[in-house]
Parts: sequence; structure tokens; C-alpha cells
Amino acid sequence: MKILLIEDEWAFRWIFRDALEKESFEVIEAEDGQQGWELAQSAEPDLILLDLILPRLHGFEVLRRIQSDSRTREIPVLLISVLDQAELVKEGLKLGAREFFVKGLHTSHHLLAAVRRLLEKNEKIKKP
Amino acid sequence: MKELDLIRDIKILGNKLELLESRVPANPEQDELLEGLRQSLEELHAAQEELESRHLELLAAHEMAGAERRRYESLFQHAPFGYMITDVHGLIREANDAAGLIFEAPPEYLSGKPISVFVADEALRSFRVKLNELQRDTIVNGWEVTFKRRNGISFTGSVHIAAEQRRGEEMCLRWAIRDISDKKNFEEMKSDFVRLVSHQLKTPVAQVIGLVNNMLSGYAGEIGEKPKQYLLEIERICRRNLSLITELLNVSRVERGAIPLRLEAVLLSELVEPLLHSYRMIAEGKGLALTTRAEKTGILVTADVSLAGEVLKNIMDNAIRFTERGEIAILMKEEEHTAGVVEISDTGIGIPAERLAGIFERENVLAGPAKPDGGTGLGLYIARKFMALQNGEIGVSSEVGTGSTFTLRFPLHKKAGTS
Repeated sequence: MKILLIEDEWAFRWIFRDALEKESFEVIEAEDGQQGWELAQSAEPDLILLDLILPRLHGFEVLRRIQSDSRTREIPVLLISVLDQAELVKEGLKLGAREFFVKGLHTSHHLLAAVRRLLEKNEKIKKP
Repeated sequence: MKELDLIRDIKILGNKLELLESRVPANPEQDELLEGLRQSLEELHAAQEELESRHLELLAAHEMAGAERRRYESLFQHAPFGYMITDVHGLIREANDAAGLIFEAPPEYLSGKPISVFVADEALRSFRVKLNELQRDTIVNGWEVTFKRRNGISFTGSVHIAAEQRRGEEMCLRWAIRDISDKKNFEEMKSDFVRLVSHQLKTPVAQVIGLVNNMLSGYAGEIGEKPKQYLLEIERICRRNLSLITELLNVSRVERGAIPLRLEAVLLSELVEPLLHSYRMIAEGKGLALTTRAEKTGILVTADVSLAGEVLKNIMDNAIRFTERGEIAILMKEEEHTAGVVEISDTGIGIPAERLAGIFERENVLAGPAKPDGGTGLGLYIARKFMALQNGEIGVSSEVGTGSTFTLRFPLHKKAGTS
């Protein structure tokens, strides 16, 4: 399973990559919103981990583009942010993100559980 | 005018009668007839005078009405806000110059168009719902609507509506619209700044938590018991620091009165949902059940999503931190047709009675003993302030060893007319 990780902070990329690779996921990385959107279209990921505050293209804008493009719309998106304000969570879910991961509150263990849950759910939708 | 014609006719009649008297020779029979005519003429003169005085009064009233109308038109046209009159469906009948400026369209362009064509797409649904709710003699104050100008650029407008029905006429709506984009933008800048500061302060702490957590999970290889204890302590301290950052930013905003308030009609379940999203994993990770129950669905309250979220997070943080086993139960209910209530109950250590009394007071926090968990204790003071800003309340009941229940009351959303 291929996970696209869109995150500008190298320490977080490191943290998430280590946890995901330990569980045998293939991880591809993007360091800003624009690069992330390009990889979302070209790399055919099974799931996208999307940071909110990103250079070049805000996370919500990347999410909007993912949701409005038929090639990427079905890919589950998990938003990841250090910010956890209710209006951001609400907006993110409204725009089509499946879950909201709060850095500092949730751990890699929680992230892996959420990733597995979303992939499983998406498989069920694809193969009813 | 009819009155003037009549007065003229009476004068002509008088002149003709005088001519007749001077030309006709004396004759008793004719004299009698002439006398009758003279009397009728005098009566007509009296009526003429009465009519003339009425006519003058009417002229004065007419002039006054004209002056009033010009004054009204001047007020209407030169009002500093967009002023419009529409029918109940929002079809524009009249619009002033300021309305034209706001929507960047001449008033004659506005006339005959439904006002909804100037409402931004994302706001259209709620706009129509509210418009349908308007009843006779209702007044709406300070309703914030996202409009779009004729050129497509959107702006936030503060709307005042008075619904009016005069006898024998259809109901009309009088709209006063003020462009408050500048104020809104300033508030958003302040919010963005707090968000940026929060992001910058929290990021390094969250990174340390993430790295430590990976080490504890064995992603960096095996570690011994002692380093594990050290790492657990580092993680605990960092988590405390994250809470401190949130609390200090919030308390500084409260003290400076710098909290932009955005009250809106929102379902109680919509306030609770983001909370469940964030905390279900945490509760389950700690072996706690997190349950929700609603006595009634569709409870609509007036609240600020952001402030309510901060309060709920604070209560939830505490509930999870101070509960080792059992459950955290969230109950949503309506109370006496006045409040939407969220109750968060835990089966944790509980709060001693002597701490319970002033638990929401700032003074108590500052004067009290150090908190057992090393926190500032400001969280509940902020929670009470945030609830008060939303015209809501917060309360608590607790028993040591049994658990605590925090109760949040939000005012029920009232339909248009009383807002």
C-alpha cells in the first residue's frame, strides 16, 4: 500500500515515515502543497496524509483539488495538524477529509490505526 | 383643479346676475325672481369662501407632504448603508445609491431582481431558510450574510430587516445592509495571528512528543527500562507544555478582550462531533469507553463553534487525564425549551468539595495550591469566560472517587423575529 505524506516539517516526515515503514507501507513524500497535489495526481497513492499549514498551497486548497478531480476523489485523505480548533476540524471534514489527526495529541500508534481503518473501509467500498 | 373651476363659475354667475339687474326694467314678479337669485348667489359666495379656505389648507398639506416625501427620499437615497425594499420573497422593489455602491450595480439594475442573486453560493441555503421564517412585524438585527457583488467578489454584510404589512397592502421587507468586510478582515487577521503563534509554539513540542513516542514504540530499536521511564516523563512534560500553550494564549485573549465572537445557529451534535473525532482514539488507547447519547435530535443552539470547541476540549482533556478506568459519557439534551445541554461525565478521581466552589474563578486559581497534575488550572476559568461570551453557562458536580459531571448550557436558537 502506497501512502503519500504531504508535510513540510522534516521531523514530522521522519516520525510518520518511520512508523509507516515499520508496518510495511510504502511512503512517498512531498514537502509543500503544490508538490503534494502533483504527486496526488501522478503517483496513484492509496491514502494521503495531508498537513494543513503548508507552503505554496494550503492544505485545504490541496484537499479541495483532490476532491474536485475524478482521478483523486476516491483516495481517502487524513488531515494532520498541530492545530485542533473545532472550526478547522469541521471545515476539514466538510471538505471531504475522512479523519483529523492532531500532532502532539495523537501518537504514531493512533495514526497507524486510522490508516488501516481508512484503507480497509476504502477496500470495502471498491469491492462490495 | 375642480375647486378652482367652481370658484371661477360662481364669480361668472355673480357678474352675469349684476348685468341682468342693470338691464332688466322694474317688474315685481321679476324682482322676486332676482331676489331669489341674489340669495342663492350669496349662499354660493359663502360656500366659495369656505372652499377657498379649504383649498389653501389642502395646498399647505400638499406642500408639506411633498417636503416630507423629498426628505424621505433624501434619507433613503443618502443613507450611509444600503437600503432596499423587497417583497416577502426578496424581490427588490426599490434600492438606494448606497445599495448600488455595495453591490457595485446601479440602483435601477437592482430593482426587479431577487436579492438572492447577490448572496454567495455557500450562504444561499441558510439565507433562503431564514427568509422563509420571516413573519409579519418581525425584526432581524445584525444577521451576517456573505454577499457577492455584481463583479463576483464576495463580502460580509450585516443585515437589518423589518417586515411590515400595511392595511390592504402586501407584506414588504425593509432591508438595511452594511458592508462589514473591513471589520471582519481585521478580526480574521487577529485570529490568524493567534493561530500562527499557536502553530509555531506547538510544533516543536509536538515534534519532541512524536519522536519520543516513536522511541517508546520501538521504531528506533529496543530500549531499556530506565530510558523508557525517562522518555515517558519527557512525553508527559511535553504534553503538559502543549496544554499550557493553549491555555496561556486563550487567557491572554480573554484578558485583552480580544476574542472575535461568531455566533451562529448550530446543532449540538455538530459541536460534539469534532470532539469525538479527536478523542475517541485517545480514550480507547487508555482503555476507556467513550459513549454519546442524545435525548433528542436536531437541538439547534446559538454558539461560536470555535469557542465551544475550546471549552469542550478542555473538559474532555481533564476527563481523560483524571480517569483511569470506566467511561466518559457525553449526553445531549434540551432543557425547558431554553437551553441545549451537553453533559460530560467521567468515572475518574473526582474533585474535592473545597476545590469545587471556586473552580471556575481566576482568583482561586492564582491563590490556590499547586495543581496535582502540574497544570495552570486556568482551563476552567477560560471555559467559563468562553461560555459567558456565548450567553451560555458551565456547571459542575463531583464526588471524590466516583467522578465528575460538567454541564454546558447553550441558549437554544430562536427563529427570526426575536434575534
